[in-house]
Amino acid sequence: MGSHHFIFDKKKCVGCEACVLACVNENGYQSPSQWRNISSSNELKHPELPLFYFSMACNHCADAPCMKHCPALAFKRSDETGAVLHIENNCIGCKYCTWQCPYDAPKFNPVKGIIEKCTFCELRLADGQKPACAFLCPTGALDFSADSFNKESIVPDLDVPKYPRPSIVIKELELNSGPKIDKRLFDAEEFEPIMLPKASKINARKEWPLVIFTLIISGMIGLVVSDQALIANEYGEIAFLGMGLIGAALSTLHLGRKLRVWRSLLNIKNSWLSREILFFGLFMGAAITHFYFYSLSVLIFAGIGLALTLSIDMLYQPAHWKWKLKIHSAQITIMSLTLMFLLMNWETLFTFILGIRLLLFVYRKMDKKQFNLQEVKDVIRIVSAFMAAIVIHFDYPLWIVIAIFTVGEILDRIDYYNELSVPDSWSLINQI
Amino acid sequence: MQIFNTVCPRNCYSTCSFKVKVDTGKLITIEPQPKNINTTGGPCIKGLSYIERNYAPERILFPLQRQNGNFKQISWEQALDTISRKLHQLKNKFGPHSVLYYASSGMSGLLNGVSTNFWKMYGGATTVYGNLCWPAGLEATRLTLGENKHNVPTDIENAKLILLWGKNPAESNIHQMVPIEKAQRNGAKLVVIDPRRTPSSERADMLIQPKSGTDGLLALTVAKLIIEKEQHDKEFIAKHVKGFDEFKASLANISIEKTSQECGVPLTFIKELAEMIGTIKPMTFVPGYGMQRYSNGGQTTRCLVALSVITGNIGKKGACWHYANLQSYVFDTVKEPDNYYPTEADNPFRRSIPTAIIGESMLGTKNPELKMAWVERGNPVTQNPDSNKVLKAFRKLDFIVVVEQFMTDTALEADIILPAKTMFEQSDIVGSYWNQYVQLRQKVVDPPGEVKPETEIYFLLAKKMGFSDEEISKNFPEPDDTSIERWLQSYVDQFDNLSIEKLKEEPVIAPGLEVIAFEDMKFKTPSGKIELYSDLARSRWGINELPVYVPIEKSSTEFPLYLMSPNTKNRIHSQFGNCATIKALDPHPVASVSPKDAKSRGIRHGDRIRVFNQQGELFTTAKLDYSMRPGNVVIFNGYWNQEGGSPNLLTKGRETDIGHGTAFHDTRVEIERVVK
Repeated sequence: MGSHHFIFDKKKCVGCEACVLACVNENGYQSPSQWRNISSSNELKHPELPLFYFSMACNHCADAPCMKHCPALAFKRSDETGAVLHIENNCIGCKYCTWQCPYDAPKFNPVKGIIEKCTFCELRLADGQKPACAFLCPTGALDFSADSFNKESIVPDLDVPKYPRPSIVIKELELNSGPKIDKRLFDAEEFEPIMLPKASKINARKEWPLVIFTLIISGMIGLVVSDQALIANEYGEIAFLGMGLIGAALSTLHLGRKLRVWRSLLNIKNSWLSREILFFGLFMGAAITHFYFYSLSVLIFAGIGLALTLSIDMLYQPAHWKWKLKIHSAQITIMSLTLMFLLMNWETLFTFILGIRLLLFVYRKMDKKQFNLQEVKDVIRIVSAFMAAIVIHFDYPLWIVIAIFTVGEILDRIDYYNELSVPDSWSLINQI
Repeated sequence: MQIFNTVCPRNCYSTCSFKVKVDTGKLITIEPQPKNINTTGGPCIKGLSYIERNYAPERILFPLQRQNGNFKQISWEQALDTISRKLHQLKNKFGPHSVLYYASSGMSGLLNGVSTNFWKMYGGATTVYGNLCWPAGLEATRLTLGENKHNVPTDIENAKLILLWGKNPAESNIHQMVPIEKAQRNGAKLVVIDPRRTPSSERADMLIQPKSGTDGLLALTVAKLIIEKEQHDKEFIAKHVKGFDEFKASLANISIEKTSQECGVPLTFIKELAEMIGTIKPMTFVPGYGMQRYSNGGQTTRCLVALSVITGNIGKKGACWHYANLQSYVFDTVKEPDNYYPTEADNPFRRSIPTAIIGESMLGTKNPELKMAWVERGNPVTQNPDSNKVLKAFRKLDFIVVVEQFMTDTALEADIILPAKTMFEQSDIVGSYWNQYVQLRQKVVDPPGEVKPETEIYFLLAKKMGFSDEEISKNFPEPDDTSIERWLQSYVDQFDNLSIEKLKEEPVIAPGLEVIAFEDMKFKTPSGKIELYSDLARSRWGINELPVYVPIEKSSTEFPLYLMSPNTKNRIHSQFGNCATIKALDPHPVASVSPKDAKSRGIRHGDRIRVFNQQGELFTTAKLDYSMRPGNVVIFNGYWNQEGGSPNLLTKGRETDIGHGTAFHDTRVEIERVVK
């Protein structure tokens, strides 16, 4: 592996964005987001906070999470330069790498339906030249070294959310305070917001196929493991398999390159996304076998179902990085268990788990200072869980309990997606 | 693949040298030219967008004529024929002064002089005098030091104290940040004085944020404190300065407490600044070009330069008044600011109207009234003050010709648009007002479409007009490249160490360069000394002989906010904002507002707001800036009216106290939230 790396001097960068243009000139027009970006540490120029800039593209990490977790094996390491390169023809456009990368390096190109990213300017390196961005930095803030360097010198500050050993050395500011200013000019009470809200790259609206897909899975597992009577007839079987088909179609729908969906199975070894697809396939296979060939034990479904839900929950883990509490009330494994208890009429367990989840929900809202009873959807979610947990102890028809319960479950899952957050350059700089 | 050395001809301090790679007649890449020691890192974001800009799909490549409200492509033959007929007609009927010839700072080069030759041949024209930028500061410097020159840019590395007063080089002169950073590494202190907190001020030890227009008072107060503490350079003053005693006496009435109030700067900050300037040497004083754009701009600049003078920070290593360095303008017979003034010598060739008040003056001009305008290298509709009036004046004309690369707001007013060359499509010689080089902007590709350089346009138009061949060959180079080079050669030949061949290779140090300006302690003032007391100030401009503080108009309750329109890194005036890549980074016009002013008006970050005063209004988006001095609103210079509005919709046509500059910054506005 090569030992090439960027060198970035915070003292010298004034945020001029020449590096961004240099990259565009070298690698072609990049839309909607450039491969290299400048972020400001203090966009609103809060007088109490320092103001510096950060130029960031791909850091070609030694433990590149994009490469490790890509389900379609669309990344490779260049033997000559150590660069992490993206292979256009292998990409399925699932955007999973954009969740994994702590530096916001892979960029989704919606026109091509695939990821694109910094290549270290491979061709220039082969020519013995620095990458265009480092070559064209007017102040010398961004530089590039091809010398061998000690991995220890990498600044662990960049450890967000984990430490993938990036090929960049950061020269820190000696003074982190900015100039002496007359603070009496400003009234701290007026500094609201402290930081600008940034639209998260993931939310329920954008990822609605995945919201439905995961809800379907949770429902299918609950059904097949607990109350097979519901589906143990011709129509039930067809409806069950139909749900699976819809789920599969929806999860394909969110891919940039739908015809390459088969490639999502290529990285079982490392990628939770590949594993999710594998276990989903096994689950469907087991159901077909069970319905039309020979009966399988419920334990087989429980086993595959557990593997599937755990895969899904693991899959989303990189987008949990901002959460204080790493467990969420709407993780699929927990949701599936709750439904299972409901359908099996294990009243006490059901009430218990739903109660715990309700506490998790309220704690989360309070912690984010978002607990606000004017939010109708939150109230509905709470009431629904509360009622379901109680109503199950009375003699109401099951479908009423299921209906009340499901409303809350859908809201909780939507909330889950809205709370996912993927690191971007801006969140990174504020973490440092 | 060929590599050419060239230079950026924009109206910018840096005047970067760079290399451009060309393959089969197409621009490929732009690379740094380390031979220019001031811009070794390569050009800024604008320079790097040149290739995209050259081949932008919106570029105007053919002559266009307005027909029924739309622009239609016409042939050069038709265009020149129409223009020629119109020019003859107007000359016969109203005289040549019915035509306004307007050129501005869009592209620098010696060949721009050819345009004037045409209008002389035509029998004259109405032109503008003054300048939109810096004559107040230039004249103030000239009154004081006799000349506008400063040490070479890298000399800042030798300074122990650097004063960035109203300058934000991180955006307007990014290459200056390199020697500043080196000086700081060697222990220099950096002080920034600016109502805004900028990327440049972030490096500073101290940021002082005075009220707009009060800089002169702040400087005089600092001078008073220095003199009281006997920290002034008595020996230097005795030898080289005229009028120190009068200056000292004039400070008697200044009270630091009152200054603190008037400028809105704490006492301790004023004292600390005075202590630094009084004790740390050498000091490089780097004023920006903003303070001079107030109605008191000339006097403010004189107050500021006085600090360099009384501390002896002139003509030494690491010590200079780093304002404008015209040392590379070796070919100019009349240097700035003299060439901005209306002179009797030019009569009857030109009748002049002030560029600062162009709208009103165009409308008011009689005998003859203006009937036609020819605009090149400029965009007066958005860049001159009082856009609404400029627009009105242009719309009153019968006929407008605009030579342009893009559909600017001025081009939209044209009857005929002639496609303009870019910097890569004709060779020319370019000086810098910051660095020490004479440079050649090389022709590296042929103009696309039917684009013709101005020299060729005038050459063909002169023929069409029926001027004699003899006269034409005297006044214009033939259009071919060899003739252009020969034309430039005639300038270069005046100097032994200059040649076109050498200039093609690299930037060449200006003949007669003083690395340390004024090291010989010779000052081209009437007294031969540095003049704090200037009789010329009184006789030429009617202002006080001494640098004094003249308050600008107070803000009214109706329009309480100061509007600043500084430059951003993303544009040079109205150029570059239309490039796709730059637009991606800076998509919408915004107005920066302090949270205090926003809150009291119910404005939040991202709200649509209306900015207005007695001149006009514009609609834009509010951007909160927590560190800007409350009472200010910032709208960057150079936005097009097409994209939301140039700040000049709000400025008033008004000259500065001296030099015929433009008092853009003497503007007050009010803002309000737009209710959707």
